[in-house]
Amino acid sequence: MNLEDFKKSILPIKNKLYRMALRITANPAEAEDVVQEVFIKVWELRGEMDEVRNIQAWCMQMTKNRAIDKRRLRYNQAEELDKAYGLSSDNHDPGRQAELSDAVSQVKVLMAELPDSQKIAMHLRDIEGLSYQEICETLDMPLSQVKTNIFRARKHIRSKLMQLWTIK
Amino acid sequence: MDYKVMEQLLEKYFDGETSLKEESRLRDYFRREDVPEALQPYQPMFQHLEVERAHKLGSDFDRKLLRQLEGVQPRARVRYLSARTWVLRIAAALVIGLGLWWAYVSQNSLQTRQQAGIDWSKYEVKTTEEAFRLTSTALLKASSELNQGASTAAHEMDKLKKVGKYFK
Repeated sequence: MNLEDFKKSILPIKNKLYRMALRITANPAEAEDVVQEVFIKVWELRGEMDEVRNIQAWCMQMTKNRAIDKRRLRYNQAEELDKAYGLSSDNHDPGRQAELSDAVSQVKVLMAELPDSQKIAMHLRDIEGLSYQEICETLDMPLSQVKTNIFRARKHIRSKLMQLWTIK
Repeated sequence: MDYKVMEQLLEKYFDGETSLKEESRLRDYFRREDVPEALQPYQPMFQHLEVERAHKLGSDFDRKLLRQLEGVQPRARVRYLSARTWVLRIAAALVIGLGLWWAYVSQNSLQTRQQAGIDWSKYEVKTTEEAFRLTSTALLKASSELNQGASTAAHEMDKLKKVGKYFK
């Protein structure tokens, strides 16, 4: 693999890897470092990359492991969760916009609270739009387990959302 | 009509039975502002997924990374072993370990037995009277055994003679 091949086939998955790392570390700088480390590793092993059947799944798996290690090293999730994410969509009702923004942040917190296996499986399906088969390959997990993790994650968020809505 | 269809699709989604196309349809639906009240609790969830999908690494990342890759040398070929190979290796190491342990234990107990030995000095005859008594006892025992042997042989010969009659 030469640099051109790398730019063409590996670099385009940077955002997927970044979002996965961000989902786990909840820290943009750390997530960026993780992606950089993964790409450097790929480049170091460029002579063996033709033996890897699914490079994207391989990179995703490495990203997941490194992000978990990073988070373990510097675990301060509460602080990271306080950082709010802005909404890009237009909404003409400022009251409703604020309410939604608040609710969206709550969903972020709810997702962050999920166990890693559920959080990552749901992320790959609902954010990256991967098929169940691709998720199995990425997480090295049987199909039934992937489906169970996604089902439980969605169910948990749904019940919490309903509770929040009832309180309002 | 739209509401009913979406409600059913939502149920399917939470049961983990929607296809990627149906999930994309749900995301499109929850982008709109006029979501019916009954479905509004779910809107933040889909909006959160949209927000997360928007996270990207800039072109600065590419520049920084490519500059770093220039100095990275390819790594010496590393052979990755499958989980099955690892299990077989561990099993083989255990078998060899157990074999060596068993050989060590057997060798040790044999040496102990040999070292313990029999102390013949306590059976050593010290007086002529004792020697005479022991010799006579031994000879008497031998004589009695020989007598018994001769009588048994004569008895058996009689039996053979009787049997031999039938073959004449």
